[in-house]
This record gives sequence, structure tokens and C-alpha cells, in this order.
Amino acid sequence: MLARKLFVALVALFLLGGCLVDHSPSLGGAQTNSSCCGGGSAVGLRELDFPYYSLREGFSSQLNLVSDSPHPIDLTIAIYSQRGNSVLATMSIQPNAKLPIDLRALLTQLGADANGEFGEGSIAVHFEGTIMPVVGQVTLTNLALRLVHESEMVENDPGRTDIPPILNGLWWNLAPGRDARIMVANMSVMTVTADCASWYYNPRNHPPCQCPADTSGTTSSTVTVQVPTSLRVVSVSVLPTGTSGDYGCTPSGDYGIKVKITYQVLDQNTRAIQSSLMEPQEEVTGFYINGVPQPNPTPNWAEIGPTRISGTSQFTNPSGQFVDAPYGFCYPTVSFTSWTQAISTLVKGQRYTVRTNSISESSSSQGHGSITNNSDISKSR
Amino acid sequence: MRAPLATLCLVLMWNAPFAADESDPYSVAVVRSLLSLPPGTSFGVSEKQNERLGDRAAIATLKLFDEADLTRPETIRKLLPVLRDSFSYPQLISIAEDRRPAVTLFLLHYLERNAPDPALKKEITAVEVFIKAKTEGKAQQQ
Repeated sequence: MLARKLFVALVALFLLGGCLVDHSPSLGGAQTNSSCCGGGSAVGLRELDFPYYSLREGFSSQLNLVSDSPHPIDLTIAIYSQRGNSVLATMSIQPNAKLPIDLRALLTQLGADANGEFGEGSIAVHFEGTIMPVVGQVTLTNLALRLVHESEMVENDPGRTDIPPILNGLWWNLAPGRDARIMVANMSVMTVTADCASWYYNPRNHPPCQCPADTSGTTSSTVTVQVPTSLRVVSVSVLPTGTSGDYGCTPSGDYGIKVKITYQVLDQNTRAIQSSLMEPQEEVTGFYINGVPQPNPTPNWAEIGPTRISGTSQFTNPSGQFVDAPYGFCYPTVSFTSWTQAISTLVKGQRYTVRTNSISESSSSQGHGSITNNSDISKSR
Repeated sequence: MRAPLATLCLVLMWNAPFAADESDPYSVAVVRSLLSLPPGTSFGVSEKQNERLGDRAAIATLKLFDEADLTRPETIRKLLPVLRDSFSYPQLISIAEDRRPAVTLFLLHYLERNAPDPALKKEITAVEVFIKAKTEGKAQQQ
């Protein structure tokens, strides 16, 4: 029986995040200028998902990418284990080139356990470009079983996705000694409850078919994933006085302080979310200068980055970190200010408020100032 | 005087479809907030907003002020840093169309012609030169 054992993998990707994609201009506007099919030439962050690879039981897996872009494209490849842990690799694909990547070799090179935790899982490929300049598939091969099959690509971009809410798989010739395996990969950054329905039909059971109780069944599983919940301050540094480079206050307004804050997005279990799909935004209210209320500087949610300061960006980096800078207030004389900053991350149109900073800032002399939220942000110069 | 302003309105209408924020398509609230800051101050949050505006700063200005306002030296002196900073980092301007300072240069030209005092005219010209220098390459690319 073992000799005849044939591993049949049916890969089903339940990416309910795809159903939740917001086609409103708030996400897609600046980046794609299109909610669906009209923005084919817009440059934006792209994600290709490959729901399954296996290195177990004699299988080898190769990720094959091909580019039809006239320019080199930098890729970030995230390989996820079944438990959701990931390792990252960066590489480039040359214009109109093919890029075959042996996953066992890559995982070994990255120090991941290809025979253990990373023996099977899923892959996400991130890059910046127009719609689908890079495509691919994962080819799974088992020479002993004389079996080759593919884990096909799905596009999972902010504001655009080709993943339907219901995915169907079909396989046949299940016989004694043969297995079927359903992989459910959640590539979103939110909790998804997926109904995984499997129906096994008796031989020659043709419509109108009856499914005997002992040969049919429905199973449900909950795939728990990370939800942006809070921010951890990674570092706070003072921006020096100047007029070029990463400067804070200027010589003509050198009372006060401006800082550069690096945050890490955390999940509901205070674990880091390693995703570059989160768009940090801010809303500032309760703004006072010397006790006098001021109009809200951000009447609506506004992007935290990019700004003139290096390291800032519209989206989180692959580690799930982002920089908020320049942050603070400078004046030409002694003053004090206060404001409330709410920070949220936008993920495929879904907003998660992750922090509120109640800031007070003051300066008593030129070249000096201090800023604090009375918690994890506190800096003076 | 009316003819240039009418032309300006046409330019405004041309820019309308490229608005970024549906609830404040001309960023009027953002520019109002920028203009309310005491002179010489710099707030990081506002600074980011200003640098992303580009030509929208001038469009919002025309929504906020009438012809008489735009000849007052104190109004012009408040406006100039906002218009200037809107083009300090053209790559940060959030809407590609706003990287071309079409409305801004039109407005600056109007301000310069109607400014009552020569020193102020010079300040306006300096801002105009700065914006042209910052956007010359970009405009050619578009």
C-alpha cells in the first residue's frame, strides 16, 4: 500500500482578504488611479502568492518567475511555514528574464529548517511595478512517484486582486492507498474564518448524485492570522538643526525639537507583523500652541510617509516597520505646544487604529526642546 | 483683471478631477490650517501636508481668498512660504498633475502684478524663481 501511495495535493487558497479588498480611491487612487482594469500601466506595490510548496516525502519545489518588463525588478520573497513564520530573501529579475529558484537551496541559505518547520508552506513575492510584469508558478516534483504538479500563482495587490471569494478544486481517481491534501493558506494580515468543504463521491456516482453519509463530509477550520493592533517604538532620534539633509528645526526657528520615530506594527499577541502591505496614516486633533487651539492640521487621515526624511515610506517595510519624521514643532521663540495623534494602518482598504499619542512639547531656549507622550516617546536636546 | 481670473478658474476646473481627498478635493482645510500657523513656526505634521500639495496649494488659495484679499501684503506674505514649500520636494507631491506649477505660477504672476510694494514684488519673484528651478526638469518630463 505504501508503494502505491500517491500523494495528491490539492491546493486551495482561501484568501478572504481578497473579498475585503477596497476598490475605493482612498487606497487605489494615488497608486493605481483605477479600481479595476483600467490602471494597467500604473506603478505600485504588487504581491504574487503561491499557496503551496512541499519539500517533504521526496518532493522538491522550484519557484519559477518570468518577467516581461524592460527593466530589472527587485523582488522580496517571503516564504511562510505552515505556522505562519516567515523568512525573507531579496533578489532581482533581469529584463525579460526567467528566474528559477530552488526552494530547498534558498531556505538552507536563509538558515531555515527545510526538513522541519519550512518543509511545506506558501510563498509571497513582493515587488514594485506595473500590473503583472512578473508572473510565475511553483513546480512540485517527486521523481520516485513520477509526479509533477504546480502551485499556481494568484495576484494579491492592494486595490486589485484576482482571487475570488470561493475557490474550487477538482481531483479524481482517488483510490485506496491514495491521499488528498487540502492546503488552506491565509496570505492576508487579518483573521479569516474559512469554510473548507470537502466532498468525496463514490465511484461512478454521477448526477443526480447522492453522497452517502460515510463518504461525504464538511469540515470547518479557523485560520488565525495577525491583526494590526498596536505599535512598539523601536527608536527615537533627534533631527539636528539645519536646512538640508535630514534636518529638524531651522536656524531661524530653532526653539523646540523634531525627532525621527521608528515603529514596529504588532499583532493581537504583541508579535511583530512582518508585512509590507500596511499603510500607516495619522490624524492629528486637539492642536494647541501656547494654550490657543489651532485648526486641525490633518482634517482627514493622511499618510505618515513618505516625507523629506530618509527612511520614510508610504508602506511598512517587509519587517513591518515604518518611520514617522519629521515629528515635532519648532518656533522662533519660547513656546509650548500639545496635540493628539492617532495612528492607523490601512490594509487593503481596512483601517486598524493602532496607537494614540498625546504629545506635549516645549522649549525654553534656542537650540533646546523636549517632546514626550508620557510613555515610550521622550526626547530632549 | 477679470480675464486672468476667469482663465484661472478654467485651470481650476481642469485640475478638479485629479483631486486626492474626496471630502476636501482642493485641500482647502489643509491650506487653511497651514496659513493659521504663527509665522516662523514649523510643525512636522503640517510640513508633510504642505510638501505633498504642489499646485493644489494655489488652487486652495483661490478658494480661500477673493481678489481684494490677494492684494493685501499681509495675506501675500502668509501665502508665499506655503506656495514655496509646496514645491520644495516635487517628488513628494502626491498627485502627478500637481507637480506642474501651472496655477501657482499664474497666481504668483497675478500677486506680483498687484502687490503694492516693490520689496514684496521681489519676494514674490524669488518664490517664482525657486518653484521654476525645482520643477523645470519635472515639467519637461511630463
